[in-house]
Amino acid sequence: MSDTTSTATDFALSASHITRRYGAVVALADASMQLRRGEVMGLVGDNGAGKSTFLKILSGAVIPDGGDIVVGGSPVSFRRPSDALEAGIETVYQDLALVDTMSAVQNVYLGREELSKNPFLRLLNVVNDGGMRKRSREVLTELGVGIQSVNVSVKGMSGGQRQCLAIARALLWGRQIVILDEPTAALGVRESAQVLELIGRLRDHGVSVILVSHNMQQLVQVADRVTVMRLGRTIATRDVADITPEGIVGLITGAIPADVSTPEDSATIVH
Amino acid sequence: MTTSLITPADPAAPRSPGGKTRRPDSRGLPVSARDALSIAGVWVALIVATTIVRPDFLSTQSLLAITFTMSITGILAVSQAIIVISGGLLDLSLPVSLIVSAWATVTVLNNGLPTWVAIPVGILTGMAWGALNGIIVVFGKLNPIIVTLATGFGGLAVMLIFFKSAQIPAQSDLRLYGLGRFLGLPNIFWPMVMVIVLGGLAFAYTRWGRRLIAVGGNASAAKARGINLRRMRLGSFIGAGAVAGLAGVMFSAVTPSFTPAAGASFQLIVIGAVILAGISLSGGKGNLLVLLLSIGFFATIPTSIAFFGLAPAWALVFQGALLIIAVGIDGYRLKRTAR
Amino acid sequence: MTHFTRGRLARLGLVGVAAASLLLAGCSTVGSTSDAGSSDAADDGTFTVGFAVGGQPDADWQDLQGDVAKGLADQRGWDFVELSNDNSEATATKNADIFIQKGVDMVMMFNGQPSANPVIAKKYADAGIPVVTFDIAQPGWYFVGVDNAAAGTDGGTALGELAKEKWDCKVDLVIEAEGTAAGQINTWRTGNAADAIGTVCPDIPEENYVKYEADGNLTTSLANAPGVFAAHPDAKNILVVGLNDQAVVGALQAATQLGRDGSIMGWGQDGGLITGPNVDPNLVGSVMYFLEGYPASAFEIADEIAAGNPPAVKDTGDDAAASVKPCAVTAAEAAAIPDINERVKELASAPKGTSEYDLYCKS
Repeated sequence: MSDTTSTATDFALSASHITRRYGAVVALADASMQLRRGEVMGLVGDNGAGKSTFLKILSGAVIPDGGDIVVGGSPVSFRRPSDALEAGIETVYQDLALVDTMSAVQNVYLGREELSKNPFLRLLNVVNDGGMRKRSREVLTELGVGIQSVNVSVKGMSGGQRQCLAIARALLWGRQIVILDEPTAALGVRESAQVLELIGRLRDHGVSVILVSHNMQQLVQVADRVTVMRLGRTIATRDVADITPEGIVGLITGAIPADVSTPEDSATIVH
Repeated sequence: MTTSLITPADPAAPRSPGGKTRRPDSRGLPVSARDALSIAGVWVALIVATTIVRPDFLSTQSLLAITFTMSITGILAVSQAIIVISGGLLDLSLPVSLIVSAWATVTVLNNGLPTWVAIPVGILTGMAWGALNGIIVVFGKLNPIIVTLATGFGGLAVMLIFFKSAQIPAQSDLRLYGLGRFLGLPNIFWPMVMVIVLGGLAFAYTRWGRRLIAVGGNASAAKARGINLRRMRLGSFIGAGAVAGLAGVMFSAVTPSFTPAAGASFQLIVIGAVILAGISLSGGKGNLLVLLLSIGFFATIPTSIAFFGLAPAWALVFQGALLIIAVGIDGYRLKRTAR
Repeated sequence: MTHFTRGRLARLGLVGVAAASLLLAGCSTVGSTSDAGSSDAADDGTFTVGFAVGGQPDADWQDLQGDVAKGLADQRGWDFVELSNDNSEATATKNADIFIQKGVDMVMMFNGQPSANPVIAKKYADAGIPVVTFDIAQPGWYFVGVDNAAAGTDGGTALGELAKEKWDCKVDLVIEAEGTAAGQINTWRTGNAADAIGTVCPDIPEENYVKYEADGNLTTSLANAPGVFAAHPDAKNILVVGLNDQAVVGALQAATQLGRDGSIMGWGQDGGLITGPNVDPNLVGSVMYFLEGYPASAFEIADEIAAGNPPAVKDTGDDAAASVKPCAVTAAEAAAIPDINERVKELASAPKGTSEYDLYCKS
């Protein structure tokens, strides 16, 4: 987590030539991405461009037909979401993130509850509530996520708070890579700003972020680089400093030529 | 507590002054506490009303009657609660689970085997029944209500082939246990209390309990956290089966003779007590101590009816009406929280 | 792909197994009783009785009714055709067609699904075949059933006599374990028993009679009875009557749980729990109906029909063609009565016209 320097060869995640078809439908023709340590990578593309399939493959929810994924220097092969979690990749979905009937701390530690230090209680599967509460308070404070109490049910929390909680969870669990799928989609302006601010703090903690968003303004505000997908391919990656929102839109729609050759009018790709 | 970048935007959000540490089980405590208070309230009201009409209601006889009625209902309610909280909707085959376990228990005893064999066999039978339901629900990806409705009918039919009635040996230790008392209350009352306390602690403080609640509350979220839904679902059915098996053992201890259909009369009261306790059919929510109050309330109704001298069928009318009210409240809560 | 297919297959397999086992269970409950009778009723002038047993899974007395009827038919040198209604409306209706086709001279039946009876009645009426029905009345059919009203009175009288003898009629509480769903039968068995106690011991005050819902089963009875005892804390000498043995024993067990079993006596109905090694010590007696013996009464009607002068049709419970006499027995007497299979044998070898009441209840 302390390593915030990054070089071109030192990738947090490297996915090359990922493919996936559903029967005759090619959802992903050729997708690649090199994610540096501690960077925010935007992932954009039109509906049906293959973003969500690509994300699902990176988070272990879908098994690719071909291609390689390397995480932290070692090749991985995800068969299920827990494989990706173990490899240090956290995916935050818009709606699936939290259990309403549970408290903030319980949600943060869900699936990874710490067991009691007392060996007898540990044997009985008893959790260490005190420790988990303390640690989650620390992390939430550190990230500036303001909630009334980690003990109250998340049901009453605002959308921004819930989103922040789900994102902060990644850091608490020591994830190196966080995938965010439209994290501000349902949020108002102020709450969106809070989430974007949190994404910045994640980066400051050395976490790499893949951020899917349709909002180009937000993207250029928070992302370091952006990868564009079109018709099942990753067609370009740009430094955000070198491109305008309009430029990104041009790449998405095809108004600006891609970096790689694409069968633009291919009939094999069905949306 | 925090450098509050995010101000509490939602006025409905519960606040806790200064983020002080609350009681350990503060997950949903306000709601549980409210449920507990309201059920305790109506229970006390019923007791007071009965006492006004019949001052001799407050007696050890009433206490014995109510605690006895609570015993098996209570254990069964915990079994049902495990299913409901973990998102398994309802187990309608619970009466069969009860009787098949009781039958296994007395069969072991009738073959001259000792009590320490009979009790585990009864509990294991309940687990096996739960496993059967769980396997069909999990691997068949079918609605648990339909599955347990079907296995409930099927199980009853199979039992009718194997026995018309079953009797526990009159002099067996288990039977004598069923007739005895401890601390002035029926022996079988205490296993019920133990199951409620242990179950309540397990839900609140163990990893297993946490994950069951999570699976019931939001299965997708739990799955995204790497929790194996199939294993949890199957585990909840088997665990609930073990509890139902214990209920079967206790049932056999107090019922000298029973038929395959003898469990049917528990169905309504058990489901009613579970829902009245605020254990939502939508899953992920429930407090077993509130359940204990709810069972106590339900168990008091027939005794109160007897004291009022009302026609006997009124007990069922009241209990049925309560079930409808409880389901209504559950639905209302869901609607309100859905915003 | 393969993964998907395998999962789907496994699921289908499981559903299949579940369905198959249910089906199996369903089939097994009806058992092997549906084999048509051996004698093919060729119309050779011999009187032929068609007999349809109920085929309910939890009642072996229904099959035994068939055995008893077979013995009675053999005794008379009649032809006999037995079918099972399989506890099913469809089978019962189909069986009517078979009997008509075989040209039987009369039919005896128990049908647990009486909703089909009007259709069946029409078929037999058109074919001109007289029918004897057991326990469930149908207009136009000879009704044979146990005399429930007498059963209640006999049980209550016997219990009242005991109370008179032991307690000098000082009874603090008479508990009626009702099964209201049984309707008139409940009134006859439970209500008449309580009335009979009042006849034997007229000084028991009205308020000492208490009713509660036992629903005819031990579990419900045991759940609801404790409140009754709690509500009458000062009652010492207690009598219990009810719809059946299960209901009465439920109350007796509740008394034991509440420590109120010092001076309590129950008298059941139907004899379900009065025999065997584990009879409740406070169940002092019950009333036996000898359900397997119904055919003995039915064949008295059959004799008249065969002789060419059929009796007037009496088709209601209040006005039955033949009432099976119930038999009130103490626990000790019940122990001396042989079990059901033995009874069927003895009845088969008894002289013509003998009922089980004659065999076991003459003392």
